[in-house]
Amino acid sequence: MTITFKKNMALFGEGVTVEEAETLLQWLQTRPKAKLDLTQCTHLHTSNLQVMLGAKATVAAWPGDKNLKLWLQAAIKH
Amino acid sequence: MSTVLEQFLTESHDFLQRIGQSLIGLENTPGNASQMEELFRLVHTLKGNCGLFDYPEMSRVLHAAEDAMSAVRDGRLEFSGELADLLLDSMDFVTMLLGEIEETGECGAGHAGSSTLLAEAIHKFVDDYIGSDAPEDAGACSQDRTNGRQTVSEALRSLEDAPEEMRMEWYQRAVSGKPMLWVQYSPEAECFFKGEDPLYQAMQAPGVLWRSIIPSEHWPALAELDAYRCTLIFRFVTDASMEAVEEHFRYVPDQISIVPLQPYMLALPAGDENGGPVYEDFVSEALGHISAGNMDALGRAARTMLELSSASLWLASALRWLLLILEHEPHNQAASRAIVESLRTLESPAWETIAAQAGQTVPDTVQEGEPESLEAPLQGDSMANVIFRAQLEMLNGSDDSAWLPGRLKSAAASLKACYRSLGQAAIAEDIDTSLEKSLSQGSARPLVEWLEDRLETAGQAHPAAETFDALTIKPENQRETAPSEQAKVTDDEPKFGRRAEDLSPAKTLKVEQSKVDRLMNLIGEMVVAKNSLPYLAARAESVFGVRDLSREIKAQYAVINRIAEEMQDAIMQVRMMPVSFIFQRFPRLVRDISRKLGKEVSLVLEGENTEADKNVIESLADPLIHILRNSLDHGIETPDIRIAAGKPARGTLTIRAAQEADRVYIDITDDGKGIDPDIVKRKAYEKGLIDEAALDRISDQEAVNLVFAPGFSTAEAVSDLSGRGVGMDAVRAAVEKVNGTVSLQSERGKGTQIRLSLPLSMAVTNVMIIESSGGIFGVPMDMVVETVRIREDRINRIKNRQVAVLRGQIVPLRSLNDLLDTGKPQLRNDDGELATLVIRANGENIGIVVDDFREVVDIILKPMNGIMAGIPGYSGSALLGDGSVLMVLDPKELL
Repeated sequence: MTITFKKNMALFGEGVTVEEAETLLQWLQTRPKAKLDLTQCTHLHTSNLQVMLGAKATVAAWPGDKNLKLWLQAAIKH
Repeated sequence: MSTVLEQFLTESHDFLQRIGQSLIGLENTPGNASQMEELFRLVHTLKGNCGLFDYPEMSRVLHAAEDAMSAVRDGRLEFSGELADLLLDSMDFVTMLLGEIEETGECGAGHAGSSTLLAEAIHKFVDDYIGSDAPEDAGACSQDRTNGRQTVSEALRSLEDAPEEMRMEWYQRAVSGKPMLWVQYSPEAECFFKGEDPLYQAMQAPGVLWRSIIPSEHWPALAELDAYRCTLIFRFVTDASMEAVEEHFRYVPDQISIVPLQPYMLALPAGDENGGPVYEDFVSEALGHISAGNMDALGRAARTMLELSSASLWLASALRWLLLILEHEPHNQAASRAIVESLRTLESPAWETIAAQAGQTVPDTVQEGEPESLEAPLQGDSMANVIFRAQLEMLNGSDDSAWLPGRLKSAAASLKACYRSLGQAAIAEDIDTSLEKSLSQGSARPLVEWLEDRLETAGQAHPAAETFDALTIKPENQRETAPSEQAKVTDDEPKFGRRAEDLSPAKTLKVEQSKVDRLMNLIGEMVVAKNSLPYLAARAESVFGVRDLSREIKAQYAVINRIAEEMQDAIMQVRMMPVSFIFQRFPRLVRDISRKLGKEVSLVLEGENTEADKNVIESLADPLIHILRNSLDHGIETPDIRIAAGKPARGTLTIRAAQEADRVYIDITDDGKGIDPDIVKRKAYEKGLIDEAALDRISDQEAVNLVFAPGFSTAEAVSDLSGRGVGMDAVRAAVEKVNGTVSLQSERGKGTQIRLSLPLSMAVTNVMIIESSGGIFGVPMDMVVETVRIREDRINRIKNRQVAVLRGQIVPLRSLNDLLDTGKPQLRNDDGELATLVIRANGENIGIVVDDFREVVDIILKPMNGIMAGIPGYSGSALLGDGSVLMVLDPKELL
């Protein structure tokens, strides 16, 4: 697993795969105030992004990867 | 290399071969529908398979070929020699790519150019033929247009989110001629299950300047969210070329919409509306300047206005755009006017309408997924609805202003243009009447009422039009609203492609040759092991004196022997291949060469099912091609010469294969001009191949066979000679390598026949074992003429050479010990006779003196490997039943 779940914070690892979307969704479903730390993330599969958007999760830290950050911000501002 | 790829490669070669056959078959019988279907199916499947891998070059060409074939199948295109040429070229290209993939594991990007050229050539050929007389195409085109306009408006609305400075920068780039594209990528809902990652795909897109990701539908409650159903839409603006974007999304072209942005389309003012539109004075003044063409004055007015306004206002944004457009496109009055007019409503100009009115061809180039599933009238009406509503809104503004007449006229003009494009030009009169009423009353009312009426009727006629309020039509919706005929078509469609798998499962296994070879080796060892049983039986009797055991061993040996022989036979069968394996490439070869030479030739193939060992068959390919080329080039005459000679214009080339006992005969017969023995004789004499005496002595038949003599075939001979001569000695060498022979018969003016005689199998060789200087050697039985014992006193000497007279013929004798240079004298038997093996080599009998003869055995001949390969005089080695190694001689090389 490349996502590390803390109490109220999910730490995303380098490449978050499609398999992890379901886990992330379940985790977010029980934690409405959860925050995401994407600092380490270099890529995440679209399904994870969709879960983040659907759950309106707050991004506490954007990824270091510039391109990924641009795309995520383009998605999350909506 | 992965297993899938390996399988793809093998299958593709198969497909290509069959495609080639079908193409040539179709050329002969162009009306053959079933062959056409077959061809289409083959190309379609090949293209589909190719899609599994990342070979866009191959896909592109196959796709074009498929398009062309589909056109032929539907009767829109006639099958012709030129089309066949194109398609054959394409298949050759694909074959080349496959070869490259096989060698390097990948397909070089360097072929992209030729691939595009080929694909374009095919498309052009199809288009040229079909021309503009395809109504359905025209329909599709207009659908594209309306649909495209809709996408354009969608694009514009999404662009409002991009910061103004950014858009201004794009504008400047676009004005300077850089492409500026708006791309929408709507992945299908199930795409995650296909291993796609749309975000990654979008992120890797070339030249992205700005991006946005939106959900395609409202987010459901979190508890109901399906993580694995993709509901995102990706939009971005790029300065990459259309081709680059298409290339990037080449696997999902139907999920992509591309809108090329005209510079002015980026002018979408945004900002604080500050209580609504109150700039009428400025608007009328500005419009006046535009009508007068006084752009400088407009610019001055706009600058003044801008200085007076707060920068965050919508007005200020619009003015900035106005100034930018005035600076870069001072002649684009329509754009300037639209921006000025937008100040009345504080809504971004409807650039899509302006683009359409200005006759811009923008929407033509718009690509939208599945345009064919759209219904043109519905779409057209919906677009019209959008325009009508916009006009209605405009007209509903206050009536009491000086610019009312202008506004009315412009609305009427838009409406008329709309109806014209919907093919309802007659309605224009109604609009004119309402317009006149409105103008005379000084109120927009009559026009508004008329328009509202129209909208109502339109709404009833097309209830679906309601949904277009939202302006966004998802591909799913389009599918739902697609007319039923479309659905029917798709139901009937998959007769090709998918259903190819409905064919009964193949009863053939594809096995690598190495596996069969291994079996072959194993059975060889088995035979050897089995052969040791008789030795054992002999030992049991002679050494241990147990006679009964010896008998039992012999009985067991008989059983094992039978099974082993059957096994050997079965494995030989596996290695057997029909000659059609090489014959099938001849139709194409004959067609190509005869077309090039301007000759008419029909090729007749007979006995294609005759089988022989794979190695034998494969070794035949090159010699046969050589012979065919010769026949076509030198044998068969051009049609006019043939007619002059009283022959049919069309020459016939027959290749016949047949099996006789343990040999396969292949006859290549042509009805060309044959070989002139006199010329051959003269040439051979000039080359020093025969002497003067032979010149008169040899028969015509012997003379024509001189073409096989090494050194006969030179370039000079080719040009002067009537018939063959090109590398016939090479042909003979290749055939002899597999223990075959070549003979040639020719009659001047009538034609030539070349006969190849080949062994059925090379696996088992029949050799005679001989003894010499204490060792044993094998000599291939097919070279042995006879074995004789010659008394020493009957051996004569001619010029230091031993000879003997056998059956009235002088036979030169050579001692094997001398040939092998062992330095020992040959042994005589008790009667003082020398054992002599008479063999036939290079057309004459030669006696080889050995120590003694032994039995004849079947052996599995293994060629010499490694450092042994360089030793001349031996054709290989074999294991004998007692475990000893038998060296098999190659007498031709020895002598």
